[in-house]
Amino acid sequence: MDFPRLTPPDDRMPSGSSLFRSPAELTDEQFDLLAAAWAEGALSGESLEELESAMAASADRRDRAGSFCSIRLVPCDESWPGMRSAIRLSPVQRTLRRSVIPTLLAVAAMVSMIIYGPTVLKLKTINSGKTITRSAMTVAEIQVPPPIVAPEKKPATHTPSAQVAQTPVAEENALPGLLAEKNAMQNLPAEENVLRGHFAEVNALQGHPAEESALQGHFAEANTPQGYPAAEIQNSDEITGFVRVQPLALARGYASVPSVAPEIIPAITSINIMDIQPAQTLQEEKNWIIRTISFLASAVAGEEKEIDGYIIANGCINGIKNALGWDMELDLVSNKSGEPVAVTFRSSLLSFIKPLNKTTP
Amino acid sequence: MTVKEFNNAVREFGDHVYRFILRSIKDSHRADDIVQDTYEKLWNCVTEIEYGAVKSWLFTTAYNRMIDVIRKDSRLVDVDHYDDSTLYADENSSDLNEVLHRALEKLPAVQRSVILLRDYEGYSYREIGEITGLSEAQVKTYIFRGRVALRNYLVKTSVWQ
Repeated sequence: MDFPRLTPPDDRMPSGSSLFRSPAELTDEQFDLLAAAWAEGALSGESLEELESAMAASADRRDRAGSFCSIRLVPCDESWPGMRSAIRLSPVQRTLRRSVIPTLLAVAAMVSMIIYGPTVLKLKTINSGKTITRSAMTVAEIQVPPPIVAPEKKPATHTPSAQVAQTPVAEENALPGLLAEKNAMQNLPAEENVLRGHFAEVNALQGHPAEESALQGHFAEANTPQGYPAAEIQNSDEITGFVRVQPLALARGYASVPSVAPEIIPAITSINIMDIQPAQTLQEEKNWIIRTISFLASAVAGEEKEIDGYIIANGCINGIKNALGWDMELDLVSNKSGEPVAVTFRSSLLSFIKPLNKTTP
Repeated sequence: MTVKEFNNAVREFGDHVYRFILRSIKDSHRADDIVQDTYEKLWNCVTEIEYGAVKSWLFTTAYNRMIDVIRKDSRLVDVDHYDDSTLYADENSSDLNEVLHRALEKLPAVQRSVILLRDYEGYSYREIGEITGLSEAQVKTYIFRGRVALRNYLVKTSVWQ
């Protein structure tokens, strides 16, 4: 069965020719997209010909298309901060790094400890007691000790040298004070006769009344090399009053003043606590490490170099930073007058501030 | 790929990938994290990837990771609804490259990425398409549109009269 078919009529659009466009009729947006593609080198064939004809038709468009050629991004110099941590180490490198780094850090920590460590390690204290005027010393302040029983713990057989050999620095510091105190008391007028009697009693009980001069000489000998003024001990005439033993010396643990003269203690407890002054410190010479480093730095630089703890610690930090590429900073914080007050340490893992110890009185 | 080749890939392409990600998201910490993650993934399959294909693999993985991060942050700008008016700011600078980078920040993420891959790394349209998962025609369109937007930015900011 044959179905009828429709045949298209030969109709023509009357104004069809008006729809045709030339390249010069491209809008700016269309031209820009073509120009961008042309600047990329992505145009070819008819597209390229049409754009070239459009550019030829207008100098303005030629310049416009040319401007796309200069729109190119140039990479900046950013670098990836985590690159070093992404690199995988060989077993040998890993072992080396695990052993060398802790060693370097331990050395740096040790140097820091030596330099910034407690002042107890660096300084030596002296007993600088408060001088008490005679007017302040009254009979009422001095308590008569209770009746003393002959000591069983302290036989009179010990020699001064043996005693000194067993007593550490604190005890040595304490004894001159007690002896000076006693000497001063012997110069008191009649109203302090009670004291004299008391000391005579004490000496008799200790069994070595004449040993104090030997002890004094021994202590002078022991203290002089450490910077103690021997004259303060030996020349008791220059001492105007009692020399008070400082609590710092007694608090050292192995001070044993009672083992030397336990019965004297009640006689010296009458000193007002407000009269006690803190122990003075002596500015000690720089230790041998800093001296050595200063000498080496001076030799290398050819001029006098002042080396301090911060410079050494900063050198260690910089060395580790340069060698291993770690992000670490050590800065010195100063106050308004320019005196260093603290050291700050910053790294990606740890940051802290360490106040500096005041080493001068 | 050997460990030595892996380390070479870190040294050779680490900065490139980081730069691409940093310029795409403008966040150095996130960029660092993304590149770290990328290399971690590479290390996990280090024996399966040939060194010759590692650069493309790195950019592809980093790009996909970046898209995940952007989507998580809901900062992805839909290209179809992108408004050209956000481009124009009253900024003056004599350094063309600096102005271009500022203008780049205002482009949609996809346009930005394809232009960066094209200009920074010199990838072809096909390679960019492989990295970004786009067709070659899409890559071309994004790049051309991006160029036009950058040029318009320069004109509007009076860098080009």
